[in-house]
Amino acid sequence: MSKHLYKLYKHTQRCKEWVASRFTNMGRLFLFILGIAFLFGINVQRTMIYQILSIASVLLIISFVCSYRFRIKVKIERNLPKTCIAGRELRYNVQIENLGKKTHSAIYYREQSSKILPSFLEYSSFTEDGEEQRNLFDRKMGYYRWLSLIHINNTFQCIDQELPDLAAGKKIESTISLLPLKRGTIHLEGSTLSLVDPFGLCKRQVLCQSPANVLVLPKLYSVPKLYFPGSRKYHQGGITAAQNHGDSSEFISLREYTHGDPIKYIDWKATARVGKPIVKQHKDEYFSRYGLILDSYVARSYSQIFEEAVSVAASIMMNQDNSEAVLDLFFVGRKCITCSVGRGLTDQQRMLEILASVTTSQNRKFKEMTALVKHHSSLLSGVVLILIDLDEDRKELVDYLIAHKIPCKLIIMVDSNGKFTGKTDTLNVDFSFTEININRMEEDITLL
Amino acid sequence: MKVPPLITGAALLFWGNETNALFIATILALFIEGSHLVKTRYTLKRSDFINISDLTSLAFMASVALILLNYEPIGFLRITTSWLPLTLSPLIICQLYSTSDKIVIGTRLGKQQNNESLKPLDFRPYYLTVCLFAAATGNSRSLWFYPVLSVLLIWLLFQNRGRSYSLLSFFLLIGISLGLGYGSILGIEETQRIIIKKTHGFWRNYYRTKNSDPFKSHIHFGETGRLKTSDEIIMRVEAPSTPPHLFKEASYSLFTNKSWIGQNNDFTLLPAVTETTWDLIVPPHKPGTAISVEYDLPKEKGLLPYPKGGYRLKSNTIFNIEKNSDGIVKVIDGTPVISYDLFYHPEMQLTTDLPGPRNLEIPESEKYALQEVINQLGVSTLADHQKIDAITHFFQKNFSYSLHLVGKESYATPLGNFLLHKKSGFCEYYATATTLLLRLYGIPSRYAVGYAVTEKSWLEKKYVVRKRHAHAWSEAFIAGHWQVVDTTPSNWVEEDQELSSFFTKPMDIFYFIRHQYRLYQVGSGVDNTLIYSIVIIVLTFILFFRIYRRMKIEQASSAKERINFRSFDKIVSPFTPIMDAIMQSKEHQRDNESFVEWILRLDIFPNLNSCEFEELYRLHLQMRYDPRGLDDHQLTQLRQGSEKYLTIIEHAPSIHSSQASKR
Repeated sequence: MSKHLYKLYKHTQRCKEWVASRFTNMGRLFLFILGIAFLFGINVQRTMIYQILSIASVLLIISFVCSYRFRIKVKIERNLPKTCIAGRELRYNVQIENLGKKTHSAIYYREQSSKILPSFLEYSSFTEDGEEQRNLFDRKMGYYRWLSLIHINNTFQCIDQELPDLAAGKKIESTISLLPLKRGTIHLEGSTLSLVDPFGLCKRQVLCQSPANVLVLPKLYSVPKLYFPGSRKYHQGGITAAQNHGDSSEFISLREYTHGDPIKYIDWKATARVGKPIVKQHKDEYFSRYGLILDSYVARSYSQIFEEAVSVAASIMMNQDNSEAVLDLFFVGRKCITCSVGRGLTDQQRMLEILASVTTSQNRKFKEMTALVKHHSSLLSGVVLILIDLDEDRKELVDYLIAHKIPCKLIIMVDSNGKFTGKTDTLNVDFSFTEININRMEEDITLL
Repeated sequence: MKVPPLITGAALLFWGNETNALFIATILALFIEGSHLVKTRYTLKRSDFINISDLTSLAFMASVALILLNYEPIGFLRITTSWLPLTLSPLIICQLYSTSDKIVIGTRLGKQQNNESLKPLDFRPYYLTVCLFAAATGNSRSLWFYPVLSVLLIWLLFQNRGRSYSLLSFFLLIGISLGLGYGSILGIEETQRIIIKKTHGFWRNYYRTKNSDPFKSHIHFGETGRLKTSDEIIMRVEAPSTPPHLFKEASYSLFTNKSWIGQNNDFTLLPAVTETTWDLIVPPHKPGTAISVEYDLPKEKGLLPYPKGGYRLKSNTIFNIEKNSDGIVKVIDGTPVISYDLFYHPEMQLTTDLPGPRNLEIPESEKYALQEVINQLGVSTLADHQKIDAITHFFQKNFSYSLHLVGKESYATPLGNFLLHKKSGFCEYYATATTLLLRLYGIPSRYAVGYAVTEKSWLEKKYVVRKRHAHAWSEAFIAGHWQVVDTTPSNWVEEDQELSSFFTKPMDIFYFIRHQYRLYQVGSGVDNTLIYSIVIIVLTFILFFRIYRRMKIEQASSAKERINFRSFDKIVSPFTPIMDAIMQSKEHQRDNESFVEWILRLDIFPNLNSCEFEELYRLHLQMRYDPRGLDDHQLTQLRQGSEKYLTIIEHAPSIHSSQASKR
């Protein structure tokens, strides 16, 4: 990728951001009019476009000058939640105190993200989803790649929201809404207060620094509860994990009291008979343990299919009854990770936070995941396998699960073309699976 | 961005008034502003908007084609812009009469492209802008243009003004802006006037100093040489026998500063004898030979090449010609390819074509070299025709042909270098040297340029003249007649041909096809504009109809109708009997078990294709719960699939046994 092109896009982006920060939608329309009028209105004898050029330029200049009058001194406090969910509007209260001596009306509030434009290294190493399908010119110019990178870095959407009148020395409270676009962390740099000029063409923005972070949890879909025919197995969960369920009242034997045993298990009759404290020993816990395997093996740092796969994993996890079974989440980020949720272990909220931070494994091989699952397979009553492709390596894991009669629900995420390696190559796929098209997630996910 | 009601209608009327299309503008304005009164709305999907964009693109392209056909190309952009409010009206109408407040503008142009990335937009402000620009292109020069434009803009700004300022501030600033705007208009007009004045002066001076006339009243050394690099065919000659060797285009008398300058630039309009005939030489004419010539004239004007003694011209592709006293003919109005019949007799000559004092002038800077050659020739005492023969012989014997430009090097002039040292050059050097040598002998002479006709085409069976056949020679006035003196070594044609491209033959085919097409364009003389216009309109309507058929625009139901629909309408899918039959099974669906998994567990269907069954179930759900329902293809798929599975169910023992046990 050319560094000159990168610089061009970077400067263009900065220019666009400056225009967006200084001009309203109407102002941008006037800029457009000005540009067109300048191009075609030069010859004053052929058309009267020069009159449009003249009045539009005067209005814009006066508007721009007037917008510089705005000065404001405020103190802003946000009541932000720690987490929110991607795709669901986040509403929170903001307290604004006018520290100045002048009352302000028609002030607009907007959250400012701490945007840093992609570096050249990021730009040159990034690959856009479906870039290989673009024509040679587009691939060489890399403009769509740049747009895609900007789009990915855009973590939330916030429009100008009008505040009530800010009286001098008074504090007001207003509800602000923000739309998180993708999972991860939203870094808020501060709040922007803006005032529109008399013509409504230009605006003046004042940034009030107040950095804050919000963790965006993965997008959730409505998923049916999954049923596995697998049996319960013995696990070293013990009474802690068991809580209310299982066969904990089943008696095995008597033994001497040791420090820490609950007093309610002391067999008083036996104690009296022996002369030292004796407790009843119960059969240990049996419960179901399922594996939720998330495929994160993508060659790119960002992939829409992977994002949706994370959402599917999160949705499945949230819809399981965690008091009946333990769900182990397997994924590979920078290293192989296993997390368990349910029956008193990590709660679902914590797991969602983990899923919010999952990244792709660009330079690793799926065989690591296969090894990880094989290592845990003896404990698993069933497996939900969410794949973003189906190739030889992935098929090996599926074949292993089938061979070991571990009930498996296989989900393959596909893009709008509905293609994956297994379909195009001569891969012998002799097992059933569910395809989820990322363009019709809501429909396909209900058929799980 | 708010667009106040009625402003679009007002802008349309403004456009109509400025472009004299008030009737169309009024209808459009009524249609557009009528949307505030008419409550009917249509449900348009994303694909419908794309189809309407396609229709609009089509209308735009058709209008461009019609404008190009019916108007001068120079005004094409202005006329196209002035009709934009009409061509773009489908977009605004579909937005205003749809249930959506925004439209998606994109085009598929017949392909099923992914238009998901296109963002919906409110088209009203853009349409308003288009109306204002279209009104401005009407160029009515009306004094009301600026006030009406201002009112429309104030109307728009008032709705979108910053609310923190008072109305007084708003109107005060508007007043200042309008005043400044008017001042800047006057300033722009004055600036334009000054620029035009200055520019005209500049070009006048430029042409004067450069002495460059669009019709080549002068020629620089190397100009013909440049033409020699191209194999492009520019002229075709058809003659009963061998045509004349040289076709003269122009002649020049004064040689100064490496340039030849024309003597007589006094071109006058030559009156036609009949509508298509001109006499180049006043009758009586000697009976001559007729040749047919086809000549490319891309600028539709230029100098006409013809052989010595040409006296009559017949052509229906030339409309006006001018001629000067030297017999140079200039076409001032013709078609891009002219075809003409020319009658010539080598002995005929224009009576006004006589030499003047300039035909004997020799630049001082060239005399030293010419004198040296004269000394070498030593024929000063011989007759004129013997001198000519001697000069010709001198060049043929001592000089060679090459296309290299000759610089002056250590000599005072390039011509001196050519004559005394290099002794190699192309026709321009030979013609210049010959002309000046003749003058040194006291023979009036001039420098002539044109084309040599030497090559007969293998493809067209005519004599063809390529750009590289451009040639220069000398003309000497002997015994009351101008005689051609061509001293360029006779092998120059072969030498030039050696430099021709390997692709000459394939390119000849291309030039032939292009020539035939150009002849077809201009040759018939029939104005096909109306036919083409009708063809465009018919094709546009056919495409309109094809795109329209793809659209499924439905009238949006009112709130009352929607409630009725929700409450009472029941949809029975072809899949329902399968579900009813399976419901009677002994094995009930478990909690958290999907329907498809249940079917798999029941094992009713041998070798069940779960994907296909799932798809049917999805279609069943879509038919029942999706407000858009199924399209024809999906319904057929669901019906056929359901029938197949119903047949299997009828013979499935598990279900029958369960039914029997129930009975």
